[in-house]
Amino acid sequence: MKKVNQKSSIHRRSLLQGGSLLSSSLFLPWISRAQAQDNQLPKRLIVVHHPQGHSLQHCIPTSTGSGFAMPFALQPLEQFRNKMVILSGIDNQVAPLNSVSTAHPNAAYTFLTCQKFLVQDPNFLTAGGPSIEEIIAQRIGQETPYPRLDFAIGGTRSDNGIYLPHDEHHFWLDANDPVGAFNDPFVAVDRIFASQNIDPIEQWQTQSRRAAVLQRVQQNFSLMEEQLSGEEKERLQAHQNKIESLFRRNTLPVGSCNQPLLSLPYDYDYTYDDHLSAPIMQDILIAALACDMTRVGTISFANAQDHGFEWLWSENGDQPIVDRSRFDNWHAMVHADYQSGMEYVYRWYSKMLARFLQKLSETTDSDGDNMLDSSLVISISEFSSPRHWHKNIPILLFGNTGFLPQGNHISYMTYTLEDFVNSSGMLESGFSMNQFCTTLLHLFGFDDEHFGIDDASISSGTLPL
Amino acid sequence: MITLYFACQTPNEPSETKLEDTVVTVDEPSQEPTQEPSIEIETCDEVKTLPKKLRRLTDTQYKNAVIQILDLEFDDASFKNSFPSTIQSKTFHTFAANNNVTQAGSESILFASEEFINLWKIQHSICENQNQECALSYLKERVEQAYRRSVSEEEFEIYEDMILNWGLPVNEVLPLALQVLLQSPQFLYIHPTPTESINDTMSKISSSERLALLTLFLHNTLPSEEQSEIYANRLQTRQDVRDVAQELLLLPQTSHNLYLFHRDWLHLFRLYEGTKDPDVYPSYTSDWPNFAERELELFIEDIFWNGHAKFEDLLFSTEAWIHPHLREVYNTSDVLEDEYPDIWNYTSELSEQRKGILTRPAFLMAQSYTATSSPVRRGAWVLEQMLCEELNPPPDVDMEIPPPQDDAETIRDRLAIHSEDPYCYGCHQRIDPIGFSFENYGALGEYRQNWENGIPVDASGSIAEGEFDHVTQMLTLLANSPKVQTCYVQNWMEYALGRPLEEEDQCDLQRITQRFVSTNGHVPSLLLDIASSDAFLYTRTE
Repeated sequence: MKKVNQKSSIHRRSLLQGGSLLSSSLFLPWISRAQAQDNQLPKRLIVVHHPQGHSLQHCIPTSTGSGFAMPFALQPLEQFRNKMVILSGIDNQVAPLNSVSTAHPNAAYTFLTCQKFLVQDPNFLTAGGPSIEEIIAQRIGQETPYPRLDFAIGGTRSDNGIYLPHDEHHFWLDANDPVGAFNDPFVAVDRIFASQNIDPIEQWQTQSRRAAVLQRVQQNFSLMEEQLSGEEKERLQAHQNKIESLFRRNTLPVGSCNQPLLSLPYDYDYTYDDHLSAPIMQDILIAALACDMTRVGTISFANAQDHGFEWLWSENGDQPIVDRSRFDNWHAMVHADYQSGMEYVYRWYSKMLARFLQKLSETTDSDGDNMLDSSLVISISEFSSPRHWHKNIPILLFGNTGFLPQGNHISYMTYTLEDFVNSSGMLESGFSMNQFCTTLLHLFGFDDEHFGIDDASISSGTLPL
Repeated sequence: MITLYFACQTPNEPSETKLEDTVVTVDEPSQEPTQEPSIEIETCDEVKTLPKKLRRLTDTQYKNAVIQILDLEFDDASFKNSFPSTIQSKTFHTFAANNNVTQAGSESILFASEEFINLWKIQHSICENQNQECALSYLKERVEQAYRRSVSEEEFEIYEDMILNWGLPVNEVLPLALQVLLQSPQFLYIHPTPTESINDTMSKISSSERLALLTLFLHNTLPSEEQSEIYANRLQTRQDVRDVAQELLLLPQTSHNLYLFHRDWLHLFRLYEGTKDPDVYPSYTSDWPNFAERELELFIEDIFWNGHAKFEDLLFSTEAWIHPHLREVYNTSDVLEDEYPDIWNYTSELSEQRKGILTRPAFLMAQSYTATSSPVRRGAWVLEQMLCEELNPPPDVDMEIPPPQDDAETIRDRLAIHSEDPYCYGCHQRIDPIGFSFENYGALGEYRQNWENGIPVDASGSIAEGEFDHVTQMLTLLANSPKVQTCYVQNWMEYALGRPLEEEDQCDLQRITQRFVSTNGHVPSLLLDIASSDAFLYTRTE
């Protein structure tokens, strides 16, 4: 049983906030990256995101520790119980600090960046900084062709197969710099594995020429930057940084990858057929991870507003998931508290996650290591309940969870789930997403003392065990 | 009057299908927009320190510009263009935030440059004699065209070095140099260079860059070689700029840009955010949003090229092009008999319920949900886009309206319950009356007398300007409001400048609005006023 006492956290936090010179390593049994043996730290980070929170009663176990009964929505993950950690009771404490915007951007732009909007202006909403997986990508992914690879399941169509929604970005390279994700699997395969089908000499020539061209492009960026200042200069530099990353990719040797084969029906629609897209995108990511094309990946289910989930109707007694006589769309349905049928969608997200974990566990990387055991996989949503609750966000971790004891439900709730629901999500645990993200950095062997906004009202440091 | 146009256009054809090829009978359209009323140009007393916002070319501007620079024969249908798509959102697609470059996007720009250069290699044989001077000369012209100005020695040195020192034959190195050009920020970003100072903070923009700003605004592309030759040295004064803009405005390329503005203004991106419930709308297919958009494009073309080009025409014209697949949305009196199933209908006298742009399927379909209308979306659109009022709900407020229940059978009842929450009341007391006025139109824009449950629709309400029984009355009340006219001008200025207006823009906004009102809302004149405003003549001195 790992029920946490909030008082210990406050004590620890006050020490850290008081400018203590003590490293937080005194409080947690982590090891620094420099000290770590190769097999002790996760080699990779994968963040799987689904939108609109959870059906909480179907997602958070009723007991803590190792003997918990798997909730309905998580049942497909039963086989990974011993490689899994469930965290509950973690609050997005940053969202309430914003004074503008509706709940969706407020949640999406803060839960992984742990920072307020850059400016409190509803017409210019942007995150305050990079999200946690980007920080980790910057630290562990720079030697790979792609410091990160991002995939969306669904979302709108675009000419170049890259999904960049007009709002509600969940992943950020930096303030003003949301992440675009592949949502057309054909484009993704074409881009990521193009070099696999080309003669090595031709590939080398192509890369060399691209690198040379990009170098000249960078020179042009430098010339223009001299004429700029302030925000304009930052904007151009953000673009130039991406050119730099592209340049670097074109100077790196390309490993041998097993390119996934795409076999999809002729009427496949990547904007809608999530049940077909999810497995394909998973396979593409796993193939890229396995040949060290990247070490950080995200998969995000993008159809949050209006979807029929027709492939789940049979589980719902052959009834539509969304009752159109009562709700305009899926969004309206999940928002109206628990509605019968919702749990099948959330369980399907788990089913897709279980498939991903299974595939990872069946794959070895170029070192011969099991991909699941050598990766950290996180499953998270931007809300706890789809009623726009920012508190008590459930987080699932799989694979190499470091010092977090596997097979456990670690609850940071200082209340019962029933009380939390009865309070309309207002009860606070005192533990923050900032602490979770700091803990994540420690799991990867980095000794940051805090992540995100530096604000006295936000619990900082790592999560206590 | 109903005129028949035999449509070669099938549902899958791109919207570029030329209708003039299919006309059976129609009045000869005039070849240019209606003439500008003669009114003196007024300007602000002094040039303010205008904001400057670095913004990338939109996807359309990039494509058009590359075609222009490389002189390409281009076929959208068969050419893969990887350039990052511009986001369509509640803000204009010209805004910087809708043209961010993501990591994957920077690679897309690389690939797009390669794709266009491959096409160029197929279509052109430049400097076949492998002469480096020839290559430098060709390159210099393209670089200056792409940069919209003359280039410095230092700038051109980067290209020169490639041609002279890379040790590759011209036919190999010239395409690489052009790839550099197509990815360079001087081409990709709109950033006028200051020349001669006019005060402490502002400088003139060069004649060639002024011309480029005009063509990017009016035609979504760079000036052609011919236009550069004719106009580039003619843009010394405000009147010069206005005169050139007037000439550019008469060209057919303006037409599509007029549509793009209204597409953004109406938030038509919502057309593609979801489908329609097949149980309620069994005929609906995923092509319908394209059909509805095409109807609107033709409507706007007619208003501005064949009509009076007045703002009030947008709101009240009864002219319409009706796509064959959308006939069922209209009243039977407005459409042709079933024996002409593939025919676009043109009518100049659509029924009373279909006056203007806001009662046509495109707008109504976009501002609806899957199975039902959305008075909230429609009302909020009017407040934000026609009245430029800000709707800033309190953070984290519960935005969802309650589902139907026994004591809330209609959307009016449900919203009344929702508005009982004081957090919601502030916005909904403004949104709902306007939104209810559109309730005679369902989720496809079909006219209806009753709600889904058979209860008669009540579209009446009141706003500050007076009481109304239905949407046309509501719009009539609004159309005469100076606030609505100012807001339309503000929207056009923001679209043209690619950024929200700021305090420093207020002088221009006020003067341009005054002229807009005095011309009885003549939209081409408005475009000329914007094109000759300070933002097109001057830039901030860095």
